[in-house]
Amino acid sequence: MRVLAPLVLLIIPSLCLAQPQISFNGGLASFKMSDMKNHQAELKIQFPVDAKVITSFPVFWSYDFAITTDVSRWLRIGGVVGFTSTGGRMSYRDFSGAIESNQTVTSWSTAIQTAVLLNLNENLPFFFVCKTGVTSGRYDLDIMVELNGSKDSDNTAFRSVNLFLEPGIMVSKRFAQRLSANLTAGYNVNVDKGKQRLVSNSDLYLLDNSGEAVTLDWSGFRISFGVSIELN
Amino acid sequence: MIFCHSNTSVFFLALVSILLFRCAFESDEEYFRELKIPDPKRASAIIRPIDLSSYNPGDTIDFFGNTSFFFSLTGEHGRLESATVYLNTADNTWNVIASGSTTQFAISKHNLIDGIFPLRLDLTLTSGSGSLADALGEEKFDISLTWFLRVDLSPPLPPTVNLEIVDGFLTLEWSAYKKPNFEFYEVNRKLPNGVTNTFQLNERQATVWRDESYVGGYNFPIEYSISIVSETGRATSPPISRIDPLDLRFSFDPKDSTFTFDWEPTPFYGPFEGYKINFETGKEIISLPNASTSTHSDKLSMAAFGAESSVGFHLQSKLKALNEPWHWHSFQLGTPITFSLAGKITFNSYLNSLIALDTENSLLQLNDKFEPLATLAILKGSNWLSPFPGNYVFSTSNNYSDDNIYRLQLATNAEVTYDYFYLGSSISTYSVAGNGLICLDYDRPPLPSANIPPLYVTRAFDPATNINVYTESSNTVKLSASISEDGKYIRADNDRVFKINGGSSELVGSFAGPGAFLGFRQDNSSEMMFADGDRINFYASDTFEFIRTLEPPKPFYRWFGSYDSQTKNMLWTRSVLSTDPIYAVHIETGKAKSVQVSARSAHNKFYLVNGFLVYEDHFIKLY
Repeated sequence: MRVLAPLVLLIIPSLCLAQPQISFNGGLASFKMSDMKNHQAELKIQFPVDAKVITSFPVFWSYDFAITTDVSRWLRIGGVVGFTSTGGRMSYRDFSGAIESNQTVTSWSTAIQTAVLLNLNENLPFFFVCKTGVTSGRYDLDIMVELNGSKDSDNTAFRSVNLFLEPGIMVSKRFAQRLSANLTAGYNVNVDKGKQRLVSNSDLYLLDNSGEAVTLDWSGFRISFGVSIELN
Repeated sequence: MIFCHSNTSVFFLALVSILLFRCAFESDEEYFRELKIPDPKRASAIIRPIDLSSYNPGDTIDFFGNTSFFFSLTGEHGRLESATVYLNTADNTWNVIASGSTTQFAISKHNLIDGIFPLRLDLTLTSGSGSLADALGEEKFDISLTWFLRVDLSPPLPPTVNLEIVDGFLTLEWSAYKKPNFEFYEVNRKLPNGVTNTFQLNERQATVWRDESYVGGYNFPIEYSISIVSETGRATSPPISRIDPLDLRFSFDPKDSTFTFDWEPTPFYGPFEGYKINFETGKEIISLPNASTSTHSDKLSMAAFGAESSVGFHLQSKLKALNEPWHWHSFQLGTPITFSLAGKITFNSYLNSLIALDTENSLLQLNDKFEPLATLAILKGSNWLSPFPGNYVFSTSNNYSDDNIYRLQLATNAEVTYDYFYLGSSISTYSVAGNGLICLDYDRPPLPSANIPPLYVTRAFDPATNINVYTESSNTVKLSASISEDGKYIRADNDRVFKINGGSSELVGSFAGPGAFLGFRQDNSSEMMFADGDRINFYASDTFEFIRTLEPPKPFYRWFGSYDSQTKNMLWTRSVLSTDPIYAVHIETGKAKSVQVSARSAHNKFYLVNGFLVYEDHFIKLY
């Protein structure tokens, strides 16, 4: 809710102004996650057996929900709430037992979205879109050891906050009177990456073997497809 | 409618958003590693004492002393977690003798006795399967392996040793000690002088040892023994004696100074380096390298007349380690005197032959070969004089024990005895003359009981008549005089010279010249001899005029009184002989003749007589 609060503060005034739109977009996101990949490698070395890295922070689905309004013929502004996630997994199993590590990272982001119309073609308008906001990340590390029929698991969770910019291009196609289809492509840049603080004790944060803070870096390409509805 | 439709769409979008927002990343793919399940029965170990071949479980391991063991793990296994070694000793209990996490352990011989005992090795191993459980140390095997330990700590038995000559070497052979607790063999060689040499052989198979030094030639036995030294003790064979005395014969021919050695060749040609023959000075005469040589003759040019010389014979080994003895043989140059001579041989002018006294006090007449011709008389003692020209022979009993001087007249064989105990005084010195006179010095101490002062007398007289031809006495001054050999002159204290004329004597004068009086010339008493340094000055006895000087033939040579009246030669030597010769010097011409003599000789045992040089009981002809 703390993430949604700023968005509400932006959206309500825009609804009062003129021709508001809501839109939902879903698509694929890639993630840099360089610290986390190193972190995964360090975890792997500590395993007593040679576990296999199954995944290492791959491209995954991302979604966002936006409310915007036209400020002028050329400019549209609004708020966006987005969600995405990715993760890493290492696994080992033999006749005697198993050991696995699941690293799940999720991101809730809140941003101000600005869209600038680049052409006057009403059938197929192009927009330069830029989102500016914060993302709240969570990292869940789940390690499970199964030996001689008994299981033992452990969960450790961290939270962090990043600031990001996401410039991009959006093309829109109206296919009904109030409905439009949107195709958006952009690149998310995390301009400030916060420390991952332990959920159970925020005084502690995650470090790598060299003593550097391990951060979540959500930077990466974004491509999404969505639908917009004009409310008025 | 639109609105309604819009509301429916919004609702629909919101629903889809909520549903999709729940779709966080999730992965459940799994990696399975196919591994072979380990079988504890397939793990084992092989134990072996270090340096020995492998033993399989169940084998018997021979134990002969402190031994380090090593076991190697076989079959499928991981690392060794722990190892515990037990020995079931005589009391039928399993005793821990070693534990740890290494593949080595040691068993000490202490507290063990001979016998066969089970040896158990309990091992804890990881499976080594590579599984997760193995990696976490949760997959282990416990295996137990058993051997038998046969303990034999009995000491070695004394070896039987054979001593033979093999390939020219004295060789010892014995049977090998076969137990692995062998440490070394020890060869002991005890020499006749008590010194024992020890040789250590570290190879078990080295059961032959040859003496690289022994070449024989000892007159006393050398003892050999072999010791076997093992970890459990030492055993020594009974000593075996070996004696190879040198069968050596020596001969010397004084005619040509040739010596000959004959010997039995040594059978020890292996270590043999040579037969060495050395002169007494250490100078090598010859070295004969052929072991089969059995005789050698050589002319001994380096020997000199005088004291005995010797040549040594020596068997020498290449190693020179045994200090083989030298066998010395003595000989003497010159012709040996065939009778037992006492004192010196003298030429008697009256008899015109050599005379000498033997050890039986027989006065012998000798021929020119120093062989006795006749016994002239039996003298009363070995102290005898035959002054020039030799009409009389004087003798005293040994040590003057009966205070008599005996005078034997050779022409008549008549003997006069003179008791020289006179006025309570005793004889101090005396001299005799060839005309029968005796010159005596008496020293009588004071007689306190009768308050009689001391009495000193010197006189010359004929013992047959006791008539003095010269006499002096004093109660205060000790007196001394001597008579010339021909009885013509007396020399008294204060360098006074008296000339005897008939039954009396008259003072010639006091000689004031330099030097120490040596005496009147034996065969010409008109000449007096004085030592002036090393030279001798001759003065006329009647006038004290200087006649001539004899210089020593070489510096530091002196005349010690030996004079041959027949050849008129004086013998000049050094007081300590060296490698320099001695000289016969003509008393009138000074012509010298050198003779090389042994440096080991005593100079005062050389004398000249009748043209011969005599040293003790050997003589050589000089003229």
